[in-house]
Amino acid sequence: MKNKKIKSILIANRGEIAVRIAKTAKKMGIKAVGVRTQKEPDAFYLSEMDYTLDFPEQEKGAIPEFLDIENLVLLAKKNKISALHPGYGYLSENARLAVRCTEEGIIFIGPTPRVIQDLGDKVIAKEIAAKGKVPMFGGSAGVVETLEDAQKIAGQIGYPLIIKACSGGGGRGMRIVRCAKELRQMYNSAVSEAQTAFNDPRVFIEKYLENPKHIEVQIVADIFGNVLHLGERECSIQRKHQKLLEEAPSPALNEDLRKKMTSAAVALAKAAGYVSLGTVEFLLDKDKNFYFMEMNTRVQVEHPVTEMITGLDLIELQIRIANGEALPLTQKDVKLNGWAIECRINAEDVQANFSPCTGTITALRLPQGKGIRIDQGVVVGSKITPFFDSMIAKLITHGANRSETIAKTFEALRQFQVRGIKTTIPFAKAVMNNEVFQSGNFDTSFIEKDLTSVVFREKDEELFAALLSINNYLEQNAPAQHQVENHDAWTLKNKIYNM
Amino acid sequence: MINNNPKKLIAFDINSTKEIELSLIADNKYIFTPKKDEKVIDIKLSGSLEEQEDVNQEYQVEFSQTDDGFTMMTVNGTSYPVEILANRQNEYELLVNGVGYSFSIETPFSMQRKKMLLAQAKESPVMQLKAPIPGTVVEVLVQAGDVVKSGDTLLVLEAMKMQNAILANIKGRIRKIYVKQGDSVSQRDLLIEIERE
Repeated sequence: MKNKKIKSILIANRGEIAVRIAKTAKKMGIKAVGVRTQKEPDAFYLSEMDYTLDFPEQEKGAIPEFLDIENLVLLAKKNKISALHPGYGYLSENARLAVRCTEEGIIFIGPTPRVIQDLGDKVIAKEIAAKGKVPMFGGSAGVVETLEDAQKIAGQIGYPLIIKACSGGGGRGMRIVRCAKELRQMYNSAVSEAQTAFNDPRVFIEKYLENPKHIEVQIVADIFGNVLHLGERECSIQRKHQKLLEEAPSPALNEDLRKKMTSAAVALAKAAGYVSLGTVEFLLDKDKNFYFMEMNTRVQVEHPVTEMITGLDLIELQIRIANGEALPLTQKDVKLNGWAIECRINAEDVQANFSPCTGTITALRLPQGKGIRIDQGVVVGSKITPFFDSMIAKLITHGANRSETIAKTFEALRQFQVRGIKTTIPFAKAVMNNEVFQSGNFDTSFIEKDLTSVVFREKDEELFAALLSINNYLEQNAPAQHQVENHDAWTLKNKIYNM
Repeated sequence: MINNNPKKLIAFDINSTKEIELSLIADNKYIFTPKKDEKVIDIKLSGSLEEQEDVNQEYQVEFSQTDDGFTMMTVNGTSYPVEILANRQNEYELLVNGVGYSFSIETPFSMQRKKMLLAQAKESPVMQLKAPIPGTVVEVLVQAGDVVKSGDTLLVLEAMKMQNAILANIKGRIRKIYVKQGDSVSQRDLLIEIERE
């Protein structure tokens, strides 16, 4: 690295993204420093770091560690760490963290505080988009202060409409209102969720598009004004606005539309004065009109699909830009090659409405092969606690074309086994096996409308289950010969831990 | 050793909406060979109790532990990883390939009784709504005495930072509300009772 300013990075995050960042840092000869919390002191991500630092002891009821700006910045400063990477979620789109880093002489790996602030405020973001001539939905001109204002705007634009938190993102702080009767409850709950989740009760209103496609464009921009796009990602497989499965490229785009959308994204990034890695999210309607939704000023969970088809390391680009280097490539050099799919493997009980699942992973079998990548945050023995996000790993597959990649993903999911917790693997299998998904002609209503079963059942699976229960019942009720205590190593470990 | 026990057993799919979606009747005929713990369960597969003579297939069931910690179940040559999550008396919660199944093991007599109880529950005038997940009650949108229809939002439950609307599943009148705003509830805690109308 020329002019090496970044010698070490404090990774202010956990799980698979902390592992992912550490991997690139180490490859670049930069020291990866992890933060150990008391909630998961022997988490897997810590074993992938060059150094780990203990987060200072907290009083009960204190803000979560990875949201504690002052202590994180202090940790980096005290240990003379040159840069801080926020990952995604947590403080990744918090301008205050970027400000505090700069004040303490720590390089923040991300955009400038002003850009984070501007794009994090949906109302200002829309002004920027207008400057870049990016298509948008109609709605309130700015913040909707009262229920009466909300009713007035609803009268102008009609239903359905969507109430969004000005500081929202990632699918949170949003309410869809389909009729006037619902407006009061939805407005109040949107404001209260915005207040608790983002500490900012301001909301605005937009026309709501029923069942759009969700497509986003990856942007990368350096401090010298070079702005490139790395193609699009298809993120329409969602549940309650949470993405579950992504792919690149999108089967909905042809070359012409791809050109329009990526150009709009580049124009928006330029209008915002954007520097670093970022993502412009769009909604696409049935007539292939697209509308700007938001720009995410951080690395996305689904960045690996772009890495697979471009052959680029996005975290490396992000670090180099933060280090003041020029982009090592031009738009001409960006070649999109083949197809990639990412399945988020979450600790969730798909059959019980995707409710979060806690427990200890007692066995883990990962798929292997050419074009298969696993970004994992857990290993055998990892505890899944209610303190953190339910995502435990990501399966990313790459093939020559879409149908080959779907087949490869399905086979990889069949090999992917987790014992101890329920996961979204049977769900991802159901998606791969679905004809509508395979046709590429789906939108955000896919799970609701097209997915007949949320889990894929292998042949005779139900029979296996019935036989297993009958077999066990017969064993239990057979005359006892000897009693064996049924304790595996992980149960014992937990017992000792709780003693 | 062949253990011939005339008692028949039925695996009853608890989550099935139909009364019996799949019933398996084990003749409880075990064949243990001393070398490996191989068991043969003689199973009759049928759509209902009356048709039980129709299908009579034998399944060869084997279990093995893998080095990486999985229990594999092999039935007539096909292997899947399996896990028993919970077992309360005759009720089982199991995973096959990570997919959840719930079975209760019944004798023909207890099966008849179960069917009767299920039929009674369907006609019961009071519907009890329980918490599907542990969480905090963010908002209660109805009051005792309110008339609701299926699909109406009754209360909002927040769990893992996600707000979930709890909907009415029948048309009726709110009989009693057991929680208030701010309450923490565990899974299966009683939230609301609705009287069928």
